[in-house]
Amino acid sequence: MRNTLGALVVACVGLLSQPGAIIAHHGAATFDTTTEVTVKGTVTGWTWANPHCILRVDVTGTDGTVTNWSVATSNIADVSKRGWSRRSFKPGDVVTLTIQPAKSGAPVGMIRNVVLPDGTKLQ
Amino acid sequence: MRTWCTAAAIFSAMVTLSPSHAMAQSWNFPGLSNDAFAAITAGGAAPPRDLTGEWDPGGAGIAGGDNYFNGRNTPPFTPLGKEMAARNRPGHGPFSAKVYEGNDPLTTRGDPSGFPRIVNYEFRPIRIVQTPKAVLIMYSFNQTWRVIWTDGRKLPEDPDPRWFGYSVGRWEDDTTFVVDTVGMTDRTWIDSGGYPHSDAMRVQERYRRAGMNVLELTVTIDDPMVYTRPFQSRDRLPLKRLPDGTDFLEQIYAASEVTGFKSDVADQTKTP
Repeated sequence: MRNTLGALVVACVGLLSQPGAIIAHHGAATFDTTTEVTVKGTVTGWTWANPHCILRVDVTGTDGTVTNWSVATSNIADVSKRGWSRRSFKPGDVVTLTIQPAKSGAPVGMIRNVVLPDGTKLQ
Repeated sequence: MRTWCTAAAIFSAMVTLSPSHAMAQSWNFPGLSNDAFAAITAGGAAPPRDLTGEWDPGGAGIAGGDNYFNGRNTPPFTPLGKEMAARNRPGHGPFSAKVYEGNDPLTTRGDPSGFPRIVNYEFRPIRIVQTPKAVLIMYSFNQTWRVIWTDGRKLPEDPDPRWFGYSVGRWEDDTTFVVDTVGMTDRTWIDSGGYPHSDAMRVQERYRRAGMNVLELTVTIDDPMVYTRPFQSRDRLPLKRLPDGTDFLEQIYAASEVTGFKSDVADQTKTP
């Protein structure tokens, strides 16, 4: 009985962690929604917060200069439903980010998805 | 033994009929997935005059998207309403501003949602408790609550405005609980679209227990200072019952967090 219940819980957690659509939150028009950029970088910080979590990532350009990006997700309830958590990232993790950058050219944007060191994709 | 078998049969029936009931996490439940929400049906008759329990308004409760604004038949503003609305720079809806221009009191300053915004935006799982004198609604969003007095008192005639106003409730019949609210400060918006209100606004909520597992909410806003006629911001919005004892994720729009997003991301999107 206990094993059956355990299997059921595992199956249900699997169902819960299916990714949903990214919900555009504030003023998506101000971000460049026609372009998606994929970059690889090293996590410097992960802020679990509302109305958006913020992931900070150092990205090294082709000329060797390092830029610290601040890229946002939706709020903690929305991303929790899709399998993200306060412990999804730690400084030093090398991640691959697909983002919608701001039209301003500043190193900020909204995250479309992120691939973790173990290959897990969060979106 | 018979009791144990009956309990096991009921449990397995719950698992079969309501998949979500097996999905509850013991801590920090963030709300049902769309599929789990859709799978919960009204079920059998509920106990009379009882709203007790944990309820999830689902994706439609979160609102903020086009579905919410397009689905609502919002009347024209009065001249005062037009003037008030022109000062607001929302992140959502037909009057959306650029993200760095936003002045949403909740999402850029960390003000309380207030009422009725608490049921019109980021309406996340709630817990309802009934006492002999009041119905308590405890909102997981911003960890806040309302007291709806059911002891027969009248609404105040000249209330000092508050974020969540003053509420009294009564049972219209065994399944319908009606709440009237007055005295809400005009510092809040009624939703995330920058729609304003005056402190003369009156709001009526109708909670109808459609069955064991579904509670429907209709919200009517009447503010003749700002809108040319009353309108419904929620029309039979279904709330689905969660397993007893569900612990909710704490989702607070703390001032330090919302201003951090504004300075670190939103303000950086401004084109020089």
